[in-house]
Amino acid sequence: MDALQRILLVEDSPRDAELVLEALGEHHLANEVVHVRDGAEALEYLFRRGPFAGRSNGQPAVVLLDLKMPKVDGLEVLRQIKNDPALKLLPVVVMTSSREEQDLLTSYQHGANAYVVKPVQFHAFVDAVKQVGGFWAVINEPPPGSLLGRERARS
Amino acid sequence: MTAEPPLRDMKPTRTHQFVAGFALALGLLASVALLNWRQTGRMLETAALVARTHEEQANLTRLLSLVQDIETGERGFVVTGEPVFLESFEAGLSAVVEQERRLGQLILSDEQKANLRALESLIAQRIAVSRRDVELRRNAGFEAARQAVASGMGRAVMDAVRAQVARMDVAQQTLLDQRSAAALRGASNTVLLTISVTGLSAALLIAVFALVMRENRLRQQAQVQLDRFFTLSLDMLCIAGMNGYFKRLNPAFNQTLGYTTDELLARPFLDFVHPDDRAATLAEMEKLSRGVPTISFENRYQCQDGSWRWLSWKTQPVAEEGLLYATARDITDRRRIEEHLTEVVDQLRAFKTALDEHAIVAITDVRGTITYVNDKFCAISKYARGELIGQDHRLVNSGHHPKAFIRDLWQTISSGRVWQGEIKNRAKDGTFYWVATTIVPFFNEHGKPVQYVAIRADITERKQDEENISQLNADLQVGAAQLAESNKELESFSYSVSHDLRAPLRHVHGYIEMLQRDTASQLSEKAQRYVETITEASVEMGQLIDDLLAFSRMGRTEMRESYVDLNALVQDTIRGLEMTTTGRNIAWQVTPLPAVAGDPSMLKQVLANLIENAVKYSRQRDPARIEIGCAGEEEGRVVLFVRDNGAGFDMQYAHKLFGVFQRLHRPEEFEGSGIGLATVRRIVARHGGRVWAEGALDQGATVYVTLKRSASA
Repeated sequence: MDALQRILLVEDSPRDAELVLEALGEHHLANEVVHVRDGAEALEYLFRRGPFAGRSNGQPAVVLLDLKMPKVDGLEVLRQIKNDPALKLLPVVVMTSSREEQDLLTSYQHGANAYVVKPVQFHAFVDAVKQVGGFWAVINEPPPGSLLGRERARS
Repeated sequence: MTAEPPLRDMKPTRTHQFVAGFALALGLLASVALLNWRQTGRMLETAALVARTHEEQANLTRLLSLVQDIETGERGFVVTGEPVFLESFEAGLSAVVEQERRLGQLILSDEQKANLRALESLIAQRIAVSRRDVELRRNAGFEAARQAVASGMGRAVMDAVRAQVARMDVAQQTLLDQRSAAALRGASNTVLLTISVTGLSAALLIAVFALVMRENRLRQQAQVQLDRFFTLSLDMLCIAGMNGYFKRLNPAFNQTLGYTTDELLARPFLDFVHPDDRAATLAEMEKLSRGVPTISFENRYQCQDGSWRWLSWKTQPVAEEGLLYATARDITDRRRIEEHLTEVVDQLRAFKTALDEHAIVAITDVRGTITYVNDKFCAISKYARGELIGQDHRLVNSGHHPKAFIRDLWQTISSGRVWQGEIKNRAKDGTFYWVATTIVPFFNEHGKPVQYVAIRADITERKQDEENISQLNADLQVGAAQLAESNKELESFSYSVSHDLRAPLRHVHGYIEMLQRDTASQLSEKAQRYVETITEASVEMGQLIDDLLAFSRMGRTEMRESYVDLNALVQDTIRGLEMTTTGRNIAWQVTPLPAVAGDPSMLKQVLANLIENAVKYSRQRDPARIEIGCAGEEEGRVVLFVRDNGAGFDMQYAHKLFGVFQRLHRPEEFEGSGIGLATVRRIVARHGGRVWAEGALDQGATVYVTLKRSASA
């Protein structure tokens, strides 16, 4: 089995994060999940600022992004990713509790690659996470020229 | 022609001249006749005198002869003595006396009468001589007698007699000559006078004749001129009798009325007069018969083609001739124009009256000086008319408008364009009023404005209303902002509900699942049931949250109205329920539904909710009967109904049917959150319709909704 790629999970709720990690772990889809707790931390990680200034590894294969977060919300993170020439090819999957049309529309307008509503029922939730993780971290071929691509070439 | 004196004035003078000329000539001729008559008398007298003179002379001669006869007889007797001579002597004596008497009768002149007496005396002497001789003879014989005779005394007397006779003869002849000469002279004078006077008369008559001829010629000429005018006149000229018939007509009559002259002369002129005008015409005729002239009388005459012409008459009656001299003018066109003008004037008056009733009107001259205001202007400005006329509109200037506004107004109207706008004015008492104003410029024939007519409407109230409305609008904007604010809050609330409420639920669910997974074998049966209940409850709550969010979304989503085919929606819905209806015995009774106008997805939700309900509440029926159809119209809207023969409901709780989370059945009887009919009501209300339900417990239910009929259907 190919080495699993790194996933950046942006989630303010530790319970949701635990459930996501549990789901990913149950299906052995995550060899490395970086969990950041809000939008600001996500941007620091991606832009290698603050605590992540010295981060040397490449960008994750996919960003699982919650929308409603304290400080910088998911839409702002998405906007910055998609406006940055180096990051805009990075796949971003919005994972949220909101079914609001407005959220869907804005997310796609900002360049979200997918939009997943977190199911209330645990089975369904686990299923959804498994499919998302499986697709983006395993099946999907990341865009060329990304840092990930270089790492992969090196390894 | 201008040299000729007017015919009328000339007439009396000329007539006088004619009469005077004729009288003079007549007088002259009469005097000539008198003169000739007298002259003839004189001639006759002279002729008689000549005859008498000749008779006198003859009688004188006879007297002398008789005296000689006496002498002869005397001498014969003397000589002879024969008595026979005495007989002739004696006869002569008596004859002489007779002759002298006759002469005395003949002689008229005193001279000759004296001569006659002298002659008689001489004759008497002679006779006396004779008698003496005779006596001598008889008595003294011859010789004595002869001596007496021879004495010559007798002869001397006889000579004197002869001389006297001759003298008388001469005197008579002289008288005759004188008288003849006088008569002759008178005759020649008379002839001269007659010739000259006759000549004069002839000259006079010739002159008069010439005058008459000239007069006649002038009259004829005047007559011809008059006839020409008579024929030429555009006006109708006529002479009519008092008997009611025309006598003479000029061609204008034929031209105007279309009849021939004979046709007009054949009937009384009243026959041609309009029946409605006959009484007035007769009254006018009566006045004319009393000699009162008609100055301007109007009546209608029928034309040959049956149409009517208005004629204006001027008539002069001439009583002594029994005639009417009349001139008539065709005033039909004038009357038509007058009538039209009257109509137009009436119309304009009506317009003005209406305008004065409705609008504030003022007229100014080209400099803006007020020349006219109507009552409304006075009323609104609170100025008397006298205070306004002669002033300009600065009197009511409120000072509200900038100078540019006034300048634009004047530029517009002085360049000939209509100005329209709203002006704020100040009344005399200092209050302000607003007028919607239209100013129309009017021009003279050179295209320069002469006056401006301003029509205004009092819009003070409207202006106040507008002010109030703008205040209300401002308030509304505040309200709308507040509403938008609360909408925003509501949105963020439902966002929170959607996001934050669901998250803990999900966590409950998730951790229970994980707990169950990790500890399933260690849990007691009771504990297992608790875990299951927690799971069910959390699922239920998730459903409630989703329903509530959907319901909230329904109130906020934008509506897109279009043509909706309800039949297709019904069929789609029924097909979508196949999973639920499989194995059930449902008798569908769907009648064709009209097309409506509305948001298709919302209306689909309405139908889905209603039909799902019908299916759900009728599931204990076999067969279930579900009816979908149209129940006529209400206030122009289609009434749609969905009826089932299911559990029904108690009508006393009907008002709870459409409330959010309001349920009339226990969850174990019929599942559901109680949001469906609330959603239906909200959607229908957003479409402007209404929803109500009828039913009875265990008798089934009917839900009605009204929807807008599609205009394009």
